[in-house]
Formats: sequence, C-alpha cells, structure tokens
Amino acid sequence: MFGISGLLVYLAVRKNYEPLLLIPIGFGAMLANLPAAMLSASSGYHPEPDQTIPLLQLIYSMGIKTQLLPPVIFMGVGALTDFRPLLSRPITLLLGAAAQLGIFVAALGAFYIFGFKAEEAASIGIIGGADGPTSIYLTAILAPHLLGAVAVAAYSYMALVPVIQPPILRLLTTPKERAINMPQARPVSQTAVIIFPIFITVLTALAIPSSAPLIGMLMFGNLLRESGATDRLSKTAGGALINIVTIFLGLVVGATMQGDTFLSAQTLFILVLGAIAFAFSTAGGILFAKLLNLFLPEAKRINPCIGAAGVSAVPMSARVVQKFVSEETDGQVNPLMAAMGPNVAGVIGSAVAAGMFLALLR
Amino acid sequence: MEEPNLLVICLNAFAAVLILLTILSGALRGLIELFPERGDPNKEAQKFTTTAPQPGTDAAIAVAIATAANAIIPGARVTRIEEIK
Repeated sequence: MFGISGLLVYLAVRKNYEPLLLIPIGFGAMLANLPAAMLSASSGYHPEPDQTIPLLQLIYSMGIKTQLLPPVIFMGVGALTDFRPLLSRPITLLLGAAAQLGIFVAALGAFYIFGFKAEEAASIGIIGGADGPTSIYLTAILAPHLLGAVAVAAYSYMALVPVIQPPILRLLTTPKERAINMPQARPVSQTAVIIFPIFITVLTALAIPSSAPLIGMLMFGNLLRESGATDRLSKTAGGALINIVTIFLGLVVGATMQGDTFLSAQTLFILVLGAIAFAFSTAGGILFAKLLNLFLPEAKRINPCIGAAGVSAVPMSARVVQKFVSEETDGQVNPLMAAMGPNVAGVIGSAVAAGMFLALLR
Repeated sequence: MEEPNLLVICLNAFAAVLILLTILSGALRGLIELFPERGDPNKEAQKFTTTAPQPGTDAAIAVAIATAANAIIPGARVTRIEEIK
C-alpha cells in the first residue's frame, strides 16, 4: 500500500494528474496503513463507549457517512461553473445525457461478468460519469467498502481524459464530421442565467428527488455566482470552502484504503471497468450527436466531437475536444465553447444518473 | 434477499436520464425565448471568426482574444497572436 500511496503522489506531482485530489488520497492511504497509528477510516467502525474516535474516522463519520462533503463540493463547482454555453445551446443537454451510457454499460459488466452485487455494480458504473464527488457520494451510500478503489479510479481516469478520448474520437468520426463548424451560439440574457439554477433545481428535484442534494447544491452555488449580489459567498464557495472540503474528502477517501481490503482482485476489476465506463461514455456522446445530425438541418448540424465532452470532467474533456478538432482541421474549427455545453450538461447528467441508482437500489 | 434485476434498473435509469434532460432542454429553450438578450441589434449580426491558434498559444486564449476583437471591430479576423515579454 505504501507503493500505491507513493505512486498516487508521484502521478500527482510529476504528471500533474488531478493533484488536488490524488495527493490527499495518496497521503491518506499512507496514514491508513501505518501500523498502530489508528488513522484509517471505514464504514463499519463502531466505537466502544468512552472510546476516542480516531481523527480520520471522525471526519469520515461526520463528512462521508452523513453525505455532507460531496454536495458541498458540488456547491463550489456550481460557483465556479458558467452554464451560459449550455443555456445558449440547450440541445447539448442531450449529449450530456447520452454520455452517461458508460455508467450503465460498466454497471452491467460489473454485475453480470464480474459478479459484483447490484449496489457495488452501480457504484463502479458511476465512474463513467467522470465526476469525482458524484462517484464518492453514490459509493459512500451504496457500497462504502469500495470507496477508495472507486474514487482512485474516477480521479485517475479523469486525469487520463486526454489519453482516453482522442483515439475514440478518431475512431468514431470522419474528417468531414470533424470539420463541421458550428455557428456562434446565441447570447443569453442575465435574467435567464439567474432563473436557470432555480428552474433546474425545481424540475430535477420534482422528477428525481434523490438527485436533489447534488443538483440543489450545484445550482445554489451557481445562483451565488450569477446573482451578482453575493460575490463574497460565491468566492467562498468556489474558493476557500471547496478547497477545505477537498482536503478532507481526499484524506478520508485515502484513509479508507487499507491494504487488507484494497489489495484485491476486486480493485483491479474496478480499474478495468472504470476504463470501460469512460470509453463507452465518450462513445455514447459522440454517437448520439451523430444521431441528432440525422434529424437536424444542414446549417444546424452539430460537430459530433463535442459529444465526447458530455462526460463531466470539466473543463478537461472540452479542452481535449478543442485540441483534437483544431489539430484535425488545421485550426479552422475551434469548438471550445460549443463543447462546454455538453461538458457542463454532463455534470447534471451524472448527478441525475446517481439519483436514479439511489432511487432504484436503496 | 433476492438480487434486483440490474438490467431493468439500468434501462430505466438511462431512459430517465435521457427523458429528464430532454425535458430540461425543451424547458431551457422556452426560458431563453421568454427572456431573450436585449443587446445591440448589430451585435447579433456580428460574425465570430477566429483562425488557427499558433503553436504555443492556448486555444482558449485565442478564442477569447478573437471574441474580444469581434466585439470592438465586427467581422475582424485574428490572424496572429504574439506575446511580448
């Protein structure tokens, strides 16, 4: 486990793979495996009366078991996210939905091929949403014993988006499709931008109440950002608060990675399934964009590459799409802003998918 | 306890995600129609153009510069971005 801990820190420091999460996770994993240090955390911990609860177990019990920390991260993400690209092209919400395909493919693979239980399979599948807090939120509820492996897989593959997505983009699109230059999106009024988070929260919470903690906090953070009247709160949610919670979340997730449970074939299966989930999610977004193009008039066709940005690794997958398309078209087509639409839609899509799993499996 | 049928659960969940986000998409379209941007009408007609980011230039920066240039000079085309240190 010390080797794995060191590897995570190395990848974060030298390769810049999601360092904000992988360094706390790697260090937490080291703490958890120090003999007699009492710094591990687990869902099955039950203290004796008058026993002092170990530090990281305390944070786990207060922050993960109570499902507090991931929604707070979502609030920070909302405060940092500009949803205008999505509002200006609402159709890109569909790409954010289709790019959740990998979640369900990986869940089915985990269940029917690898023999995981349904709750475990759902937790593994959610890696395909490419959303760390959502993966932690769902796994902490459905399969807390897999938390470490799922979180490590989710954040590792999010960091590997620039490696995973381009081959799939090349495989599933033609040069002609890559060259589709989408027109500039229409401008969006400030009123619409302010109503948007309220609107999404109410509609989503009414349809799938179990997704409300994630979507509600995401949209609350966004309202703080867009209202123009709560600059201090917005800066706190998207700055100090999200940083503090990220530190706690990473350390505690690392602290769940005890050698006796983490070093198993299950962890390897989870890593394999995570890669499958990512690949299918990317493919789902691209193929759905191609499907939409069959029904759209020539002038309104979508560059199918932006479908790949429907996985919610914001903004990395949008940047990957921009770089890929720009290189493939000698810089003639630059779909960065168009790709941000499905990218932020993917955050909503993965939270809704997690909510559906909770509603159907809990 | 009987194991739930994950195939049915996944199909239902994926259908729910697609249907809900389709509804939200339609609702958002209604929202932006209801509250349209009332800016300078000339701005609407401005053509956004940008060209290839040169090697070493971040694409996001190139797009941002092109957008800013178009806001000042409609129809302008950014052909070269040079950083002076």
